[in-house]
Amino acid sequence: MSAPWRVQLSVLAARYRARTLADWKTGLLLVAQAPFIGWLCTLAWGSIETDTPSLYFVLGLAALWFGCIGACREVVKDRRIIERERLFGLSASAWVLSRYPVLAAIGMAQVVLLVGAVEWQIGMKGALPLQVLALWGASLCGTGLGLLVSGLSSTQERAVGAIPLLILPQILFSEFAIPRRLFGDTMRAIEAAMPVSWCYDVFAELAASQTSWSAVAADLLVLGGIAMGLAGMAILVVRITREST
Amino acid sequence: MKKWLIGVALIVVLIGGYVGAAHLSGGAFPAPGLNLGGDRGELRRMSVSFIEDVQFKDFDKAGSYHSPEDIGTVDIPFLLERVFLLKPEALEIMSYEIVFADLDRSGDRGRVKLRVKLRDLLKENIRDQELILYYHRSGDSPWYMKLESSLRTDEAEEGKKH
Repeated sequence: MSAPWRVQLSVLAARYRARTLADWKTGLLLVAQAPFIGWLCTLAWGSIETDTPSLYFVLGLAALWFGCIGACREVVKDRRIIERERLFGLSASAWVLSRYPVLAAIGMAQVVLLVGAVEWQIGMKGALPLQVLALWGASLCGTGLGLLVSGLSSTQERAVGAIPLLILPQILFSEFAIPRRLFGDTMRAIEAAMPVSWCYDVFAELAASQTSWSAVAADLLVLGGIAMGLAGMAILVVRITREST
Repeated sequence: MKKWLIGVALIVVLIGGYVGAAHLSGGAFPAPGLNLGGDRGELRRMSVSFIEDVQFKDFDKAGSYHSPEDIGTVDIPFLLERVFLLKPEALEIMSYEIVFADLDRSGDRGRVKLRVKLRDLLKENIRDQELILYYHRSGDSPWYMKLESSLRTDEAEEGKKH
């Protein structure tokens, strides 16, 4: 008889936390990329001494990237262990969700450092805590996407190689590729599925002269919903896929 | 016990890191009650204080950031009208934030960029406006604002009495 779901989740989370702490150098490298990207942003936007909508978009994209890159190897590198433990009743949902506390904490550290590095040079328009929350939402969406890709990949290299395929559509189906007024129905529907677009909308709304707080709340809820949906899809993928080697 | 110590150490490191970042960034991060950020932090605080005075229409206090020679002649309502293109009585400053604070190489000249959200009470419209406040000091003297001198450079205005 397998252990109850809650026990599995707790044991798996503790095991993953211990593993991450033991490999703290990798964690540090992941976290350190955030202030570096933020510094690069200040070089670009510092030259015009103000923030622009494109900065908000780049920050959202960076947050999604952080989440993706942090999670994209997690399933594939442990696939053998997962398959073996599933024979003894391992719950796929407990396994996937056990990754979230650590990955979400790393994501939060990354977005705080990213925003901190930008704010160091340029004070952005809008409420900082809500901006951090939006970026964290994008990062959690990235984590979900990363776990999903990891579950679908047979090797770590393929998982990492698939990341640009997740990032590029965020740019292509955004108003930075084509003005929003020219969007057709298809384009609009695809854009609605892009987490970076919702994160950008939060920033844009916060920067507006008359912020609509209900729109900000709705955008944040959608981001949270996408993150949960992606986590659910990752669980499903881990549940149905088998080692392909 | 060990976990407890690690937790306390982590909190101390996080608070220390934040305070250090707040200081090194020149007061870019809020640290209520702490005068952090060196000269840039001081300029930020002066700018916030100035714009708060303007927000509450305390023009005497708003003029007090100028050097003693300028205080007698500075006309804040007139200068505000020049900056915001609005009569002071029609101006409502709703909110403000500092974009950056900067010093020159000598460390004796500074500028602070602010973003102000304001409402035109006559037309009932809201808009954002950026403005830069300039400061100077000589040697050990305190920082003085140059709002008056930087805005009154038009020849047409030279003979005007305020």
